[in-house]
Amino acid sequence: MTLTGWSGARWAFTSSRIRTVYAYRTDVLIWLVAPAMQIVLQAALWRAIYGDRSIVDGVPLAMMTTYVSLAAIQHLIGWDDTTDWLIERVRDGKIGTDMARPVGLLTQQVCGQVAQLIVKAPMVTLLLPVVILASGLTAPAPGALGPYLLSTLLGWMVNCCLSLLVASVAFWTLELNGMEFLYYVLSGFLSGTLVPLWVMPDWLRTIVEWLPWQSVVYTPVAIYIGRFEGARVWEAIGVQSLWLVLVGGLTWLVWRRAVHRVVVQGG
Amino acid sequence: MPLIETVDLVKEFKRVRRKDGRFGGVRTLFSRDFEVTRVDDISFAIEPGELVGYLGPNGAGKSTTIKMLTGILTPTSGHLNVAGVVPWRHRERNARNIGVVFGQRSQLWWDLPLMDSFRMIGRLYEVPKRRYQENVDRFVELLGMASFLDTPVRQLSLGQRMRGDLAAAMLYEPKILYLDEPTVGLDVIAKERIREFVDELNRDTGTTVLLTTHDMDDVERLCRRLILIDHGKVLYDGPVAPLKEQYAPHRELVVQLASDTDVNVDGAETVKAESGRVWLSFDPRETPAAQLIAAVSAKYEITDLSLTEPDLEGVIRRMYLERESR
Repeated sequence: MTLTGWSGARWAFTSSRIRTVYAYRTDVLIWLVAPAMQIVLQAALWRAIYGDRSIVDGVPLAMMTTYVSLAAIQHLIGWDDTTDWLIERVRDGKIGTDMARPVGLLTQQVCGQVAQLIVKAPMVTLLLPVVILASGLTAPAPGALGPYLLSTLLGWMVNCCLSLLVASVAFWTLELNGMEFLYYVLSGFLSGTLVPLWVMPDWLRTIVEWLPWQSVVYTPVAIYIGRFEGARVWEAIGVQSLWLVLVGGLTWLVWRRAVHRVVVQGG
Repeated sequence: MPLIETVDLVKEFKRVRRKDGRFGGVRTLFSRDFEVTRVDDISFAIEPGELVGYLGPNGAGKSTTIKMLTGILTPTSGHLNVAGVVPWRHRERNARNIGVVFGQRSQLWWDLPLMDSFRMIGRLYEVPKRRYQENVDRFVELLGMASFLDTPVRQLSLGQRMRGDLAAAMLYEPKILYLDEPTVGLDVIAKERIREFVDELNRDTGTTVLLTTHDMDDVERLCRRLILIDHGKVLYDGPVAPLKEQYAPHRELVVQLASDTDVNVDGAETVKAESGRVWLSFDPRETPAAQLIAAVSAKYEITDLSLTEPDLEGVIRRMYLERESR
């Protein structure tokens, strides 16, 4: 197997998933409209909460609206259909044909996640004007852009692993109906997408800070708006990397076990 | 050396009984309520270039065996070797040696045009560009797919989809082709087209084929060897003809008589009689057909006659029934 063959096979999966996404154009449109609405509504909400005050608890309004808008985008990038895809494949037995491919099942899922990132990246660009108009997006804190992009990438990778972990439950239960929704709600909260961590009561914030989800949304956005400064930035990125190693390793182990005990539905 | 070899292959399924209701998925996860089914001690060896029919009633364990051969399922115990590879241990290496067609589900990309699926598979299996083009051209012609190459797979008819699936499985020229009920639900012409393709493939390129089917015409038309399984065990492994002799030694002579009378001849038994047409069953090892015909025509006036071979369908039916009653 040559290197070009290696990457060619992986690109085949990735591009097939990209095309599959674009085969349903209305879905793509909804993906674009839903976060745009979320951004506009959240900005309006925070403006109303602030009222006449320009700073609440040391956080200026512009910082807050920037936070929630970026968090929505971050969440959009992280929200992928790996779980749905896998559940469907396990449920109707298509997982069997997936497993008879010369590329491992876990690799195929990662290709799928990369495909979704490729689809979403240009969409984020389209969303930017909405964000600037609705929330008056502030410029990144001085020197924060580079670390922000790095942190976003790490956050995306941690999120990929977390999705894969949740999805792998389907191998044991053959479905995920209740859990998937539970996860969606919880991750929105734990990642700091709905409200920033500094708004949470101390006990809750302490719990959330010890969980991996804050790496996905809170850390990169906090870096962008300058909540983290100087050494704190690199400390936060270090924590993200640690989570990536931990969650990534766990994902790899769980998937190896899952694949050995796969049950293929139907004759 | 055999290309496919299984020795004492066992697969035990512990399938968790599903829980219904709210959070059924979560509750099932913690459930210890199992159903057990199994494939028992399956041993066979298939040489390169063979075309073998792998038969058995529903739930006999055929698909389970195929899934183990493709590396999808991990056997509980026993040995398994496909072209020098242990499928479940080296799933990806095994995948390059085999082509698989499941009649019940497609390996094609559902939302994309058929041609796109071919392109994906070409890349996935790293088929050199020229080789890929030659194979696509050949299969498109052989299977008559030119008219629907640009149609999304979800819009294809079953027959078209099956042809696409077959081509997809053979694009990278695997040594082995597993066909799991490839003709299920197809019309007569579509079936024949698939059979012709498989037959040619086996003869021209020496591709080893393992075929699972409920259609005995598939078997009679294609297979020189049969492996029959039931309740997860091998019942018969060998050529088609001896099986017929063993389970259906009798042949039938159908005669049309000039007048409506009973027929009484030595060595034959009347099975059915209907307005001058009489069905006689006889054992050709005791009474050769020519002798019987001579005997009947000496006693009665015959206007027409025909001899029928026992068909495989009847043979298999008898085998299963015999086993069930035991």
